[in-house]
Amino acid sequence: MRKDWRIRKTPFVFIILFLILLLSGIMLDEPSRVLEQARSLCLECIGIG
Amino acid sequence: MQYIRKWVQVLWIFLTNGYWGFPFSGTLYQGPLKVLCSPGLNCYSCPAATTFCPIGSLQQLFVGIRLSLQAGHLYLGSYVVGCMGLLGTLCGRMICGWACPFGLFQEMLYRIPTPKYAVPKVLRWGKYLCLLVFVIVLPLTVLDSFGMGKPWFCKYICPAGTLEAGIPMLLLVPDLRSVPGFLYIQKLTVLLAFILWSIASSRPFCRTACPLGAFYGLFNRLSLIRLKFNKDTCTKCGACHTVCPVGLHFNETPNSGECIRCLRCSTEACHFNAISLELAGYGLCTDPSPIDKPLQQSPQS
Repeated sequence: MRKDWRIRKTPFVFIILFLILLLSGIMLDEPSRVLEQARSLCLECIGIG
Repeated sequence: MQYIRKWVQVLWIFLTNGYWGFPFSGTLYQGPLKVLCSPGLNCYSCPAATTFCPIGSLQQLFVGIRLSLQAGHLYLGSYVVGCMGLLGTLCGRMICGWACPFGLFQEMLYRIPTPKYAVPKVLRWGKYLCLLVFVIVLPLTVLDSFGMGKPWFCKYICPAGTLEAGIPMLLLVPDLRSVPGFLYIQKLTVLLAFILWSIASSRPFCRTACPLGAFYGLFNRLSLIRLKFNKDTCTKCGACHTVCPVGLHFNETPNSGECIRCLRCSTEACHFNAISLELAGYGLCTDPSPIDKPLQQSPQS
């Protein structure tokens, strides 16, 4: 392993940003809506409807 | 490494399509796992799907955004975008190369021995256009009289949805067989076109039309796991150009948004340790594979 490698901070900034976004979605109860959509067959989406 | 990658791809197919009770139940998987985001493009209307498709879910949220706001719900897509962004920031397009079922399908088609053709570079912009226009703008802006939009990408383009859900659902539910019309024929045509193109060119859908690949590609340069290019050891021999499944010149554009991180360039082509995998700055695979070791001294000699 080379010694001149430094930790890149940018990925961690984005990880925190998207974690906040994800948690805000959970707080707004979005997963229940996503689950409801994913459980139902969307005929229009698969070209049948 | 490519052997391992194939098995990882197969594993992801089974992880995201692990519901094998559908022939008996005649329905989609209804369990709680469907709250989890599929990393690759995997239609949640597929009878075996155990996770939600981020592109499908995002469109569905955008489609009904006005009605949900009127009902007092702030379903703006933050959970779905948060999931997609986390995956993108962690791995970038490595997901395309290692965890996408439709990517594996295209790779298998490309193995059929026929004359092979390159994908014109200009078509790469098509996937960004799909993401912007068909996934975001049209579902948000083109509304019917009830204030609802349409999932434009899923409805008119997505060949993965046709393959994984459109065809299986018709086989599974006899009552649906009388419903399909022109739209179904159009979607079958799109699927057939991409199948034929995949036989002649490597991963054409990923490179020209996949909005999920376009989204992950935005994170390729800054993702936690990415490839590291060592200019000092690169001999510009061009070996990495010849093996790249998406036609990249890695030494000229390291971590381009097109790179799916299949690692063929670092494990199969480069004998000089110029390409390696890194995690937030730390090298993961700096040593060449054992078969490459005899050639290690070449750049210094």
